[in-house]
Amino acid sequence: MFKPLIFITLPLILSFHDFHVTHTTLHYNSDLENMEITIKVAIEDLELSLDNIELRIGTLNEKKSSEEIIKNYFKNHLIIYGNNKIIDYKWVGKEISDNLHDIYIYYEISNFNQNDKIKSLILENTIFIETTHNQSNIVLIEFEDNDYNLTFTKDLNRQKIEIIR
Amino acid sequence: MQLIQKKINFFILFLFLTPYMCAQDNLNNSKFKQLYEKLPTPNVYRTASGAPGHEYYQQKADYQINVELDEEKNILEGNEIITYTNNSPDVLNYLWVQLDQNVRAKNSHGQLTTTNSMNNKMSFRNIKRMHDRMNFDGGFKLEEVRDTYNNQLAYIINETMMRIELSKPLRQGQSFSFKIKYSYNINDRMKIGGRSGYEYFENEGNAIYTIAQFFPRMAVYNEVEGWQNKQFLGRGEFTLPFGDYKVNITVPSDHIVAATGELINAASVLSKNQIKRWEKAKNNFVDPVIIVTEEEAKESEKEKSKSKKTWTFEAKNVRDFGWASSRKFIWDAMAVDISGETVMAYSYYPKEGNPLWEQYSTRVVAHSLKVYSKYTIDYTYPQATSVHAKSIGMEYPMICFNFGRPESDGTYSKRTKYGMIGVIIHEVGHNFFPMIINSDERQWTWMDEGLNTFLQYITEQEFERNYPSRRGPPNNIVEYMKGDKSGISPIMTNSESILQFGNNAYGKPATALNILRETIMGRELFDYSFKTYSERWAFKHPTPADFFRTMEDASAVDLDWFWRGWFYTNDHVDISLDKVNWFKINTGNPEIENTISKNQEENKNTYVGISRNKSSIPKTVTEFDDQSIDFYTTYDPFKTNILDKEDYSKYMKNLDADEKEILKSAKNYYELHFSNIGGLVMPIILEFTFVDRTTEVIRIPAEIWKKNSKEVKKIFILDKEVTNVRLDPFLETADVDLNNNSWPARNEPTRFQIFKENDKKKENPMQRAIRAEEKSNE
Repeated sequence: MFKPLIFITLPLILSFHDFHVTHTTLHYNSDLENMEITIKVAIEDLELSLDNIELRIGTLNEKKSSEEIIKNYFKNHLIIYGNNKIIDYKWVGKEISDNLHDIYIYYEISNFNQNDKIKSLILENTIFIETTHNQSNIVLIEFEDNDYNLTFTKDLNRQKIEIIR
Repeated sequence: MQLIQKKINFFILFLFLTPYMCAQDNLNNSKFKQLYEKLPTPNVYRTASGAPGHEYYQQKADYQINVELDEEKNILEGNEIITYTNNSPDVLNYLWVQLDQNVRAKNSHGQLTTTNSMNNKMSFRNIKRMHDRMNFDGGFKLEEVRDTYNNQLAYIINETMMRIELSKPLRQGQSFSFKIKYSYNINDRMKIGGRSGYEYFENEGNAIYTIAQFFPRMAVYNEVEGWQNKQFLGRGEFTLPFGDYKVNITVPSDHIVAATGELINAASVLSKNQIKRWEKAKNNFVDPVIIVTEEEAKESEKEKSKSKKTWTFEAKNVRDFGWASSRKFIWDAMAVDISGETVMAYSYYPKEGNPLWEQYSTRVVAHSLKVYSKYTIDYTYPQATSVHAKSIGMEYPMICFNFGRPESDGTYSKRTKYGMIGVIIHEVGHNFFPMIINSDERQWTWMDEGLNTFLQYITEQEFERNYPSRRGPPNNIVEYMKGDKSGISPIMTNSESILQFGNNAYGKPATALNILRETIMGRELFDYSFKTYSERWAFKHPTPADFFRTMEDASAVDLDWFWRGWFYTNDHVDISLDKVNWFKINTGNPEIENTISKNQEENKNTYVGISRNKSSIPKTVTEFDDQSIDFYTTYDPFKTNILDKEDYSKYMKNLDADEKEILKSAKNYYELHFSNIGGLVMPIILEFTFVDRTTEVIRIPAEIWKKNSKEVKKIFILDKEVTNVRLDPFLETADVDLNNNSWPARNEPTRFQIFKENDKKKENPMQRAIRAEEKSNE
């Protein structure tokens, strides 16, 4: 349970080598009418955010529960609204990058845009902002013929785009 | 001479439409405009060729330091004598000294200027760290600042910088010595972070101290910045002059100390056995020899000695000094042959680092020294040390602190292994950039991190084939470069203001250099120029202009467009192959051409009604009634008559032998249209696939864009008919959109689509095992 506390805002010093950036791509596959979601994050940051180093993501000893924990984490930290309604997305899978540094997490939204009905999108992206104070989350939306580039931070964790047609 | 206008007729075979773009103003906005306005004017200190000028100078700072570690209170007490020599032609009235520890002082500017915000969801870990940082009593506590006659010196402290007044001006060639006595509280790295500090092992009460920025250090004075006294805010690292060091380090007598330079009193701090093993290591070029064993370290861990020992180190011509101390240290060593000279590779690590560290650390140090020496200059320092330090990678001359800790059960993941090897290569590599090729880190992070990350990639690939490198290959930077431009800053941005630090100062410059080497300049020209830069600026202070100019000067490749695009802008690469037109020569010979035209006419797509009428109308009027026929009914436009033949022979008579040869050659002419969507001009690399399935690669330098950087056309004369063209087939330009790189157009599957496709096909290993078992039970 989170207990509300009153805080005075005070600065921190930077810690070394913390380059905290995540990349998310929402690619609309017009053939299948699916929104394909790819989230790329550093495994180290993910483990830190899950407060559970013991998951051993991407190793032979990876905990069985890790998939469920990861699945839930992103569902709570990347929220997508189409026409002001939350859209549920379904798990596709995860894989480790070739350089072993990052993990790719895949989700999918079926029948995303039947009959051009999507007029606006709202994204709430709070990935890792609880753990690192200088987190940036970069999102690229490739929808129909347009690209939308967004950067989310702790202070700017909700953004809306109107679909250009 | 009589000129006869002779024309060859072509016929066009394919046609695709393309959008047209054009922009113009009244200034020279050419992407190939030279960099004059961007670079400083060459002078007697730095030449237009990028070399040190005939009056190049640099200052010297020599140090005699005594420090003592209080292990119980985690306090470091020290005193030092700094001797500063003014080699500049300028008269100095004051000196600036750096007090880097002050970044951890309460309410330092480093803390105050870090923007942050609060929300109602913060982890306890984060809040704890915030509390620990605010409560830590950091920073140098200065006891006295005196000259060598013990007179107090007037000084003022501005945050991380201290100005010392000189009683009389310091002129060219003169030296000034002064003493500082100080102490500071050592930070717990695990609680509040930091490049140096200690890690405490709670279960046994021991710590590993990795100590740096532990003494007031001279700032750099030169003709570029005057005094480089830009405050230390945390990100922009260090700018330091060269000098000679003698350092006495007093620690509990059961500690083992690693440091910059050479240990000169081994007999008073090591056992006879250890010295014997060390001597053995000096002749062992194949395997590391263990000098302090794991058993000895475990024995030391059990008790804490109350007595102390002093370790004395000396280092010549270094820009800084770092050290590490712990009773937990295991120490191994091996000799490395660098162009006939023996250099020692050392590693210091606790038992918690094994088995990884014993197997890899020293070997990786040795490998790094060899590869970097090959591409820059021979490593001239006597040793290079890698110290185990959880969670960080940090570099000092001859010594660096590196992460890579196995699980408590001794197993480790692939990621831990390659992460550790990568960080050791990187931090050992920093000996070259910036410790030897001593750039201004406070101003330009990329000059050491970017160049070093580039050589790290080369060194990793020489360590193991297909080493899982993070940074270097062009396609790894695509995601960053195509991202939101408001979150990107050009490489030429001051260290403190950089957005996306890792991609900006490490990844992008490393990739840019890789592209120069593999694609723009070629390995031979690049390697020579890069080595020239290293040789020119070894043990000196280079600037970005010196690097840019040397790379051109030594290679005869105009790279101004490349520096402009890759280093001064946020543009990305997106070149599109918009259109391919196919032409064949019209031979003029009516017999040949009429046949071709006839075939074309017959193969044309026809309206469905016409084809259906062929069978549904058995005979038309003109087919059953001869009286309905006239000249036009039977006229065959593709039939050759005598007049056509006469025209042809007249045409042929006008042609000379060479021209006739061209007519006969039957070549294919392909006109390709390209547009530049991303903004960065880059070479155009094309792979043509022909009807017989053979391929040919054609490489066109970036200068193809010199007159029009938005769109260009180019004709290719090929023997064979083309079925397929691909732009950037070997992924060497960091083109962010591969979907406009092919003719005929094709969509490259996304990573998501590839994953999903593969995932559909295979069951997971566990499912397969269960199914196999079920089958065998049947």
